[in-house]
Amino acid sequence: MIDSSHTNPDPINPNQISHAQMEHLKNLARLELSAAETSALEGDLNKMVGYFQQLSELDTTGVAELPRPIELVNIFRTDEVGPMFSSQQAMDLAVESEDGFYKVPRVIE
Amino acid sequence: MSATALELAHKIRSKEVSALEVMETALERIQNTDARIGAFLSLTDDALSRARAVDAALARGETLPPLAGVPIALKDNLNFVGSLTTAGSKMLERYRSPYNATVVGRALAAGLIPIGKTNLDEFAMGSTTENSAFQKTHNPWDTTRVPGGTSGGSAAAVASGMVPLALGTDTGGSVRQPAALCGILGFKPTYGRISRYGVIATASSLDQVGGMARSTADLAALLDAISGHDPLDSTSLEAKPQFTVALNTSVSGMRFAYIKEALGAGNSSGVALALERVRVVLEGLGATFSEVSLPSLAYNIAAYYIINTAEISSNLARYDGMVYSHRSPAPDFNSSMSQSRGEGFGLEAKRRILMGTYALSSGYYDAFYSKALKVRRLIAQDFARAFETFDVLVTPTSPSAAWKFGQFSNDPLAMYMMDVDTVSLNLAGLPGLSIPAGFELQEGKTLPIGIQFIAPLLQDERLFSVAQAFETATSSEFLKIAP
Repeated sequence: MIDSSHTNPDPINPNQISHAQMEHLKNLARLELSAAETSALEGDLNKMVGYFQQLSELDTTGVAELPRPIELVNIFRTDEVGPMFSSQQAMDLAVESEDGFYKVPRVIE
Repeated sequence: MSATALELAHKIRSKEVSALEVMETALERIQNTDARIGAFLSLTDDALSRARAVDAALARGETLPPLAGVPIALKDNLNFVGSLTTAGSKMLERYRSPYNATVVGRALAAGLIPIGKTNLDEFAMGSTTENSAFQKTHNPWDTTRVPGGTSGGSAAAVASGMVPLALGTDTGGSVRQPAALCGILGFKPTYGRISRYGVIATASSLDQVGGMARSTADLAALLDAISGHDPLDSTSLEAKPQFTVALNTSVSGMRFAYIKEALGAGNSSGVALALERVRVVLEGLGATFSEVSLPSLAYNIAAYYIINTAEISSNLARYDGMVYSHRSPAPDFNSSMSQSRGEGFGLEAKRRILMGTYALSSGYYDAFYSKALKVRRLIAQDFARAFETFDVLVTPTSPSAAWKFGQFSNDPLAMYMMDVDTVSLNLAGLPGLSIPAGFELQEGKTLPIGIQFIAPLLQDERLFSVAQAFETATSSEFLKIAP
């Protein structure tokens, strides 16, 4: 099991990801899937989560996280205007545009 | 195109051959070869005019940059002005780069001419290039086999003699492993040595740009051109390494050690022989060999794939179909976004986005993501301890030579296991160089084998001393263009 410094609302078990949870993940990730994809990926994810649980064997008490391999802090550069592509070039990439603005589906009814 | 990049640059400069002739020869080679290999997704439209410009500059008596006129292939996740940059995904099928990645700008400044963009696993997720939304890339040594991945197009282009040099990216082995499977050199530097600005992000704390070549001196010249600090990448390091200078350093007295955990029964017989061969050759040059155990490496696949998928789920959130990526024409905002992502991403991208979303979600963050980051530190500490006693660590680059298409298509976890030798370097930020060091015969085909050499953080150049010594001592025996 996971070492005692971690607390989770649910105990971790090999079939962690239920159908309902799969729907929740799809929603969080804004990812529409077919029924066949959902079912296949649910199986894959449960296998992966099962495999990942081997990490709980390792005692990491007192070990700090290593989010980046080189631990740099507070890298600044001067805020100077340099050459960049034009707003027109950016707009050329737009899926849809109108009068120099990006056009997107309605967000607020 | 059997000449090396440095030979071509020399011939162009001495007017033995024109840059235009070099470019035409490379394009002809692509025309004749790539239908069966599938390395390129697109060819650059201005390669010939850039070559003419090199010849014109030479005719005017201008001093040319060091690699002027030499063709280079770019992985299709590197922004190059005006080129399609798809990242192997339908999501970016029509995206044309409005700017250059720093590495591309530096390659151009060194005189290199991008000839085309190469195939990759979608958003650099995979180990075989089979996850490209557009095409398969075939291993030039046996076209029924994969070239490795994710920089499989770049590796196949160099291995089959279409270009002498290529750029790739390496998140968990994506430069080193295809280099090994295609029989060329592939290098991933210390994290921060090469700018990531303008590189389409996969997993930002793991991604590094790397180079591929068929000679150590070529690879060093390429790295000298593209490495060094970039103010546009806040993770970029200040000190500029000197790769070419390192080629002449002797390996005599250098202390090598095999990583014990990488010597298991999972390695093919050809890999075991190649591991033995590098020892014999390097000991003959005065190096010593031992074995060292890094116990935390047993957990590297689990830690890596949690961190990789977590960062992917975050980085790929930007592809929402609103601004420049694929958009599904649904009437409302939320269904447009979900459908755009459902249509634009392939299955592996979806798998990793969902896995990463899970690992970062409320209630599971500590058990998965946070735990993996702690294990990552244990792995980095194991390496640091080993480097207190040894100068260079040695493992296979891949447990086997290239495998057949579809071999792991029903078992993603088994595919992930094939990355066992490479991912720990990305977790710890270490430099690694895969060197062709043997061949293995399978079903009547000769397949190349790569051995990985690992140096401490910021000691990247040491690996080039090793590679050059091995290349010279073996008379480039393992650096052949694929038949």
